[in-house]
Parts: sequence; C-alpha cells; structure tokens
Amino acid sequence: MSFYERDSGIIEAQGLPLTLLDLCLQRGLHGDRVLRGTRLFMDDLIQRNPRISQEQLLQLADNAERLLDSSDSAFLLGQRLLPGNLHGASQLLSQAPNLFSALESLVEFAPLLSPLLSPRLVVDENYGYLYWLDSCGTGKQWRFLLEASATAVAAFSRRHRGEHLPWQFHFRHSRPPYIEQYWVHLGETLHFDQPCDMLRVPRQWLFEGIKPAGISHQVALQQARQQLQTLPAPRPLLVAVYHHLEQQLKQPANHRTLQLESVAESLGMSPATFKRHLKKHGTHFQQQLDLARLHTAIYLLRSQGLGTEAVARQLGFHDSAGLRRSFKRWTGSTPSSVLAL
Amino acid sequence: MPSFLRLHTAKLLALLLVANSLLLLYLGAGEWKPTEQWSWADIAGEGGAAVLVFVWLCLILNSRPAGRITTLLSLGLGLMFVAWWVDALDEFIQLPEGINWDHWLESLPMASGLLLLTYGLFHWHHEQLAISGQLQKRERLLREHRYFDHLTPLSGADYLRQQIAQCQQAQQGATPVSLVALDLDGFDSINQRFGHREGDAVLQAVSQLILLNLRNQDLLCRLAGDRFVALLPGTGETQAGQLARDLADALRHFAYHTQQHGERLQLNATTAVVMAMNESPEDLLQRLQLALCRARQPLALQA
Repeated sequence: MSFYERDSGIIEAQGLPLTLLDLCLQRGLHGDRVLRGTRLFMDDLIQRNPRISQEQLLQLADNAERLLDSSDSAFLLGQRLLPGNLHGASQLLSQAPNLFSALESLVEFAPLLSPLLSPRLVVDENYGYLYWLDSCGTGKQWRFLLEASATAVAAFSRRHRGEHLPWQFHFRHSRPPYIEQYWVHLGETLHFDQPCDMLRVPRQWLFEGIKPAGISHQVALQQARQQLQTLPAPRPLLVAVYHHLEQQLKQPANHRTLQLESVAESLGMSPATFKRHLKKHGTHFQQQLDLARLHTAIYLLRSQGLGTEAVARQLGFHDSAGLRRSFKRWTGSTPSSVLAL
Repeated sequence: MPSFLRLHTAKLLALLLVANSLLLLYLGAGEWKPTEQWSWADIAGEGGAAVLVFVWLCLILNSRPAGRITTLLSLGLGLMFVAWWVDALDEFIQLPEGINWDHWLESLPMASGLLLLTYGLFHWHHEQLAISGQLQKRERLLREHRYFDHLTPLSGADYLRQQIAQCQQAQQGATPVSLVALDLDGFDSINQRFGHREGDAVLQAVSQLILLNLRNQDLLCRLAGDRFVALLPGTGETQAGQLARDLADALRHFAYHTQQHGERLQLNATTAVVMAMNESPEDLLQRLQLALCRARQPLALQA
C-alpha cells in the first residue's frame, strides 16, 4: 500500500495556497510576510506553480490565520475553496449531475481538492454524512481548517443547487464566542459538544438530479484521474492507515490482528519505521485505532441500528461496558448519545 | 495599514541634522570630560528623556497624516528633544568658562517646545471632536479599536454585544431597545460573478447607505459576512419594524454600480426585528438569528 507524507510535494501552489494568499492580499497583508517560513516566494508561486507539501501549506495557513487576526478568516477562506481553480478536479465538481456525485468526487480527489483535511462520505437510508480526517497532523490548525472545510461544503452545495440546503452541523468543540460567523456562513442547525465533527443532510438532497452527467463531466473525470496519477501516491499516510483500520474493523473476526505490527506490515514497513512515521505526523498508533473505532462505532450504532452489545463485539471489546468506558474516554459521552444525533 | 512615517521623512531628517550640528558645535567649543567625571544618574535621566521624546515623536508621526496639527505636535516634541539632547551633551563635553549660550540652548527650546505642544494638543482635541461627529451611528460613548471591523468602517459583533448590555443597563426597562438585522440576498452570487473584491466593495457601500438611513442615536455594526445589525435605543418593535422596511426599501432603490465595468446591481435584503426582553445580549442575538431564519424561510420554499 503506497502513501505520501506530510513533507512530500503534492499540492499545486496555484490551487488552495494561492486562494489563501489572495485572501490575505485582499485584506491588505504583505505577501512576503504571509509566505514567511514556508520556503515559498511570490515570483516563484506565480511563474512556476511548484508543488508544495502539506507541511508548507500548514505553515502558510498558520501565518494567514495569525496575520489576518479576525474570527471570519476561516469562513472567508471556506467561501473561496470549492470548486477551486484546478483543471479537471474542480470542473468535475461543477459538472456533477447531483450533490452526491460532487461529494463523491470531493472524497476521491481529496489530495487535489482538500489536501489537509480528507473528507469521507457515508450515506444511509435517511442521511448523507460528511466528516473529515486529519491527513497530516494539523494540530492546533484543526479548528481553522474544519471551519473552512465545512463552510466550503455548505457554500458549494448552495451554489450547485441554487438554494439553501438544510445541512446540520455537529462539532466536537463547544459553542465559540464568534457564533455569528457560524450563523452567517453555515446556517441555523448547529450542535456543539458532539462526539465527532461532521455534517449531514437528508438523503433526498443528495440524489435529486439537477442535470444529466454530460460528456464534459466524463472529460473532467479523465483529467482529474490523470492529475491524481501524477502524485507519488494516491493518499496521505494517515488516510492510508485509517482506511486499512476501517477495512479490518468491518470484518468482525479481524479485530485481534489489529496490532501495530500487523498494520506496519501491511503498509510495507517495519514497526519501528511505522512508529517514526506516525510520530512525524503528530500522532501514535493507539490514537489512530481509537479514531477508527469511534467512527465505526458511530456508524454501526447510528446507520446500521446495531445495539451496543453487537457493536462492542464487532469492535473487539469484551462486553458493552467496555465499549461504554472507551466511548466515554474518546468523546466524553455515552454510545446512546449518538442515537440522539 | 498604510504607514504614515514616510510622509514625514523631511521632519525627521531635519531633526537629526539639528542634533548633529549641536553635537559638532559642542565638540568645537569644548572638550571631552574624562570618564570618571561622568555622572551616570544624569546621563540616564537626561539621555533617557531624550530617547523617550524621540519615541513619542515617531509614534505620533507614524499615526497621523501630514497637516497643521501634525506639524505643531512634531515641532513641539522636536524642540523638547533638542533641549534634552543639549542637556545630555553637557554630561560628556566640558565647555570652557565664560560661555553661557548653552543655558539658552537648554531652556529656550524646552519652553517653546512645551508651548507648541500644548497648542497642538488643544487643536487635536477639536479635531477629535470633529472626527467623533463623523463616527456618530458607528460608535456609542466607548471607543475601542480592537473591536473595529477589518473591512467596513463599522465595529463588529463583540462591540455590539457590549453596547447591547450597556444600553439595556442604562434604560433599565424604562424605554424599549430593539435590534434590526439586515442580511443581503444573493451576496454569494455577487462574489461568484464579480469576484470577492467587488463583494467587499458592495459591503462597504451598503454600510454607508444604512448609516445614512439611521437616526443619530442608533448604532450600526457588521455582525458577520453580509449581515448587519442596528441597535435602536428607545425604540419599540413596531417602530423598529418600520425602520427595517425603510432600510430594505432604501437598499432596493440603491443604484450600485460595479467598480470594473459600472454594471448596475440590484440589491435586496431580508430583515428581522426583535425587541430586547430581560435577557442577555447573547440570547437576544440568538433570537434575532431565529427571526431572520424565519423571515428567510419563504425564500427557501420558492426556490
């Protein structure tokens, strides 16, 4: 299984980085100050369109957030993010026949369209759920990027459908002091102190077609696939790890093999190297495993309608009390609180 | 932010020139004191004063455009600097007996500097009154630049929260206080069609337009994005509703032209009104948000 790391050059500088820089310039900041510490230069960025790493983009986002020094920066960035200005991938989003297809493309081409937070889409019989994985160890930047990503999806789907969508927003963090930004840029249905960060929309909004997929959609899909193939690997390390864990958790018998060693082996490296890679991305194996187990538990409880007993068994706990204890540790609340979502 | 300092390079250069010539004059007339005669307390006191006055001068120059008052303030501070500079030179250079112009060099600039500074400050006060007049409807009794909006000449949500609380306290429920929210319709499509710079220009123009339509006692803030909120002291819900309709009408009849090609844009807004009950500013804003969502609803159904 191949992956790229946070210091591999994969992001087109004239994509998201330029959008962020442009926002800063528009607010009267000096380009060189915004680019400080990113090893990027104005002329270079404009003339050569280099590929930059997640690390560099994180530094850029950190500079921008600090220098803009305003509670609306993440939201203004979000308004400008999707569909973006990339060949292929961005057109693919605009040409999508319905919202489901657009969101699916967003997930498939995340390395191009959403390089720092990797979106995941789950659809059950009532709702479509969208949540994000930290694909590079964003650390304290998580909140800023989450607010921008949520705004991007809300704004994009509104433009795509030409009307306001009843998105419901769930956040792990508590109600922020700048709640007015959430009201204006996201919408009215906001829930804070939730087990995980995600948004959901009633299922029918995903599939109501706007226009049939035309030939240009096909062309854009081809172009986006070609773009994706120019990357050194199809996905970042943390997403590859998550993906593997998720697959294993779906098969009940496998939970016992979910050890660091076996995962390292399937990623084709030694346990020590694997540990070092995870550390470089600001995390460790147990944290990743817990995250995958939490998401799987929420999915099974909420979308599959399984009881805590069954979920506990599938995730490799002795009994439902064990699941409840761990759930409490991961989220601060009980598994049954998920059903109230 | 533009820095004003480069407007004043001539003033600073002149001051450095004067300081330098005084140094040369002292060196020409007198001779260096040996180190053991230096009085460190005097050097720190007089030299420190000179340095501080210079810092004040730079701060003032950096925050003011050129003009009469700026010239007065910088002349005053400049002369004070010269006086302390000469005072500090005294500590290093011994002038021969029989020279008394050095006393004049110390006291004359100090006296005239203080007078000029006082005169400048007096006029600054009048200038400030005029500026406060222009800020009417945008601030109420309290100035705090940390709450200024980055985009429009208004304050943001935090200033609004503070002023709601203050207003409620001052009125003690004797007279009603109302809020009007105004949210532009289709602002996103302006951003998409004409670019975000045009969107910013629209927000700036709209904030001026709303200000013109408010009364003197009202306060306008930009809550977030394309949403404005006006605080209306001494206003009941019915009157506030009328004001909201007037604002929406004014916006509808506003002929906005884009900056690039002068294209005419039709602007519309959804408004909502709430009257403050016995509640916190946060709850009041939450209720305003709900009212606005309800006012928006028919729009969602139409589409």
